Amino acid sequence: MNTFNQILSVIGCAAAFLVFFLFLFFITRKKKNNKNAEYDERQIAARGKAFRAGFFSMMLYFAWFMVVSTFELELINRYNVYFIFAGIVFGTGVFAVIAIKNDAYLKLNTKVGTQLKVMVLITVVNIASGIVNYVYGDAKSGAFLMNALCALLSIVILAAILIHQKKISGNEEDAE
Amino acid sequence: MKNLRLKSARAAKDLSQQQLADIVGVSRQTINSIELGNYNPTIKLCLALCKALNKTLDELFWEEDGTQLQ
Repeated sequence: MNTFNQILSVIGCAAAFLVFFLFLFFITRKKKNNKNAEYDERQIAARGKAFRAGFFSMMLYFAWFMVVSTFELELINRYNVYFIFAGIVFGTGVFAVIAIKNDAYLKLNTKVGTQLKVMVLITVVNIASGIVNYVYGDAKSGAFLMNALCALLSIVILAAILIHQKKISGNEEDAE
Repeated sequence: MKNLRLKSARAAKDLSQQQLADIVGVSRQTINSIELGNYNPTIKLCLALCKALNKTLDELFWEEDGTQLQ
């Protein structure tokens, strides 16, 4: 059993290195081949505003969490880590939704279809991991909540992109 | 304040917002925002727009006191 665990650890490390190098490969390849895949000046400004909104939303959440924590509620004590993670997810979600609304989330020339597929994949992987975690893992520890929060964030971003695309599609010269 | 001069100059060249956006290297929504007056472009983008539409800065962006860009 011990040997089996060691083999699993080696495979896990190898997989992590593989993913890391693949990630590096895709990042560098994109920079070389697609010089236009950047944000324009309006998008950069809009992203700045969205980041500010996301940051202050997260700060407000943590202020709320700090106050609630003083009541020593059992729920808060048990899932303390997940409440903190939820704050990060909340701030990220606010940033993403505002950036998407102002058409500043995706870079210029980004293929929306590909982005949507990636978001669907992330959602499905997180939901599947969450279910496996809940069924076979320690459900009481709430480890599946991490996956659930990630899946929720993906769904929110996915929905925001879809709504935004629907809003602008078929209306090439909108609001003229 | 709407920039109707930009819109008419683009229309005179028979360009869509997307085509003009591709020429100057911005998103279509950026062109739309400039035309609607929701975004003030930098001088760099203004010059790129002027070159793309064969217009001067004055013709596209100069604003007389109390008048609209039209």
